[in-house]
Amino acid sequence: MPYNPESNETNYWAASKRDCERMETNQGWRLKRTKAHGKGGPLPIDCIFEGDVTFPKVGIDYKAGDDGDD
Amino acid sequence: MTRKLILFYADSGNDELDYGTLTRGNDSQELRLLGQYYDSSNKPAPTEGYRLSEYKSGLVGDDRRPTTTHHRPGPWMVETVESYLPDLPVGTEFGEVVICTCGYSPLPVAENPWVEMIQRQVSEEQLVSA
Repeated sequence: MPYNPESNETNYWAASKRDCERMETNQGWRLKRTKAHGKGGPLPIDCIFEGDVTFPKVGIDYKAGDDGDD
Repeated sequence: MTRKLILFYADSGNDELDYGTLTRGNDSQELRLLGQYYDSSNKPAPTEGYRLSEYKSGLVGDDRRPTTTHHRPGPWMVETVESYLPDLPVGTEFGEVVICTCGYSPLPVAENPWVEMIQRQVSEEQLVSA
């Protein structure tokens, strides 16, 4: 799990530090710091948020365009 | 929703501490900036007594680059808080700027052990949602 209860921080990986800020703004979180986690890959940045924050379960609208009318 | 910019500045009176800390600029401009939060959470701003965390890094498993392994409440503690609001909070990037000035008051080492971080596993679900 990305939440660490002892430090009261949640980590999410992102493509860039700017994306951490976008997560902070769009999700309404508090961004404490960002850093390169050094493990590479497409999401090389570790965004560290305060508290236990999770993305809303939005998911995919599988019903879209499936009204049985086609 | 108000987006806050929260800045933490070192002001212990000791240049070695104040300018040699968590973040620094280039050689021509040293910073007393300890931390910078972007905050869209609507949580109240930090108050006097709030401590910035400090971290310790090391190699874990087969890692070739260090990761954060431990944390604890750090020596920098907020002593004064100033809040600045824009004249017109419309179209501004931040609805509030909070400047926290911090003194250097480390907790006694015996009472402030390093706490091991829980090493996270990245699941596919998180990668997709992030």
